[in-house]
Amino acid sequence: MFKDISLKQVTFCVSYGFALWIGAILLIRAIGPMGAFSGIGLLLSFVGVIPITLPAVLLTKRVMGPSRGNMLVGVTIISTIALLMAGICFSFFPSLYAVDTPTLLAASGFMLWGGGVGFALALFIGEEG
Amino acid sequence: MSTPQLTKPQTVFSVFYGVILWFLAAMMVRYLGPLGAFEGVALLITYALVIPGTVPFIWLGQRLLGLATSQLSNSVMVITATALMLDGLAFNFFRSLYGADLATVMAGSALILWGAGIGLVLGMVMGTARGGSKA
Repeated sequence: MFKDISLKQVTFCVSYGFALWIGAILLIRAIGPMGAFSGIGLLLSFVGVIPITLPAVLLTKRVMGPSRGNMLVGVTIISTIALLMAGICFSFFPSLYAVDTPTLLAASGFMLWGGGVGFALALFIGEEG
Repeated sequence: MSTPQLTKPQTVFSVFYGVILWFLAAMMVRYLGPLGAFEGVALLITYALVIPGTVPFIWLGQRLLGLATSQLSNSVMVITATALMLDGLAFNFFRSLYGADLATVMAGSALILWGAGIGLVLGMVMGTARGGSKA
């Protein structure tokens, strides 16, 4: 399936996907009680995702090499792991993220947005490369 | 595995298809939630059904957009990016689109995260299944 991609690169992407999923949990738990998911804080969080996601995409590009296709495959693997894990945990282990439903819902929306931003950045960066 | 670039029309139509799928998913959450699809064992069944339920949409997208097999995963990325960003915004700013009950909307949001991951896996698998890696 991954003809031009080494096992080491796939291992990196899978591990990085899990790391980002755990990183997102920690981030949500840390910034949720600070009011990052209500009012103006929510808008700032949505905008703030863009500069936070950029280094992750750039690191993936560095690991996956100069090929645009490989970089996009890497970003897809990472996002898939993070999205699937988040999808399971938000339904079956919601207390990992927050205790009250409004914060949970805002956090879930924040993660959906973050996933989309990651892809959009990867597509734009890939275009330039 | 390589992912040849999409043409401009294919990119535009992928974005448009992403908007359609986002809206369909929102309506699914809105109308399936009150039927009990997000509670107890039904939630597990709903999660499992997302897998076969996503395949026809990828197949249809491939036919409608005229995509080569090797372009599929690239197009799925554009479609997913569009749908995820709209979901992220709508879940926070137009919550009532998904339903009135907060717990149901929350379960729907988690289901959409899962569905996006499944869509990406299927895009990669279907994009390499029949010689996609040769392109």
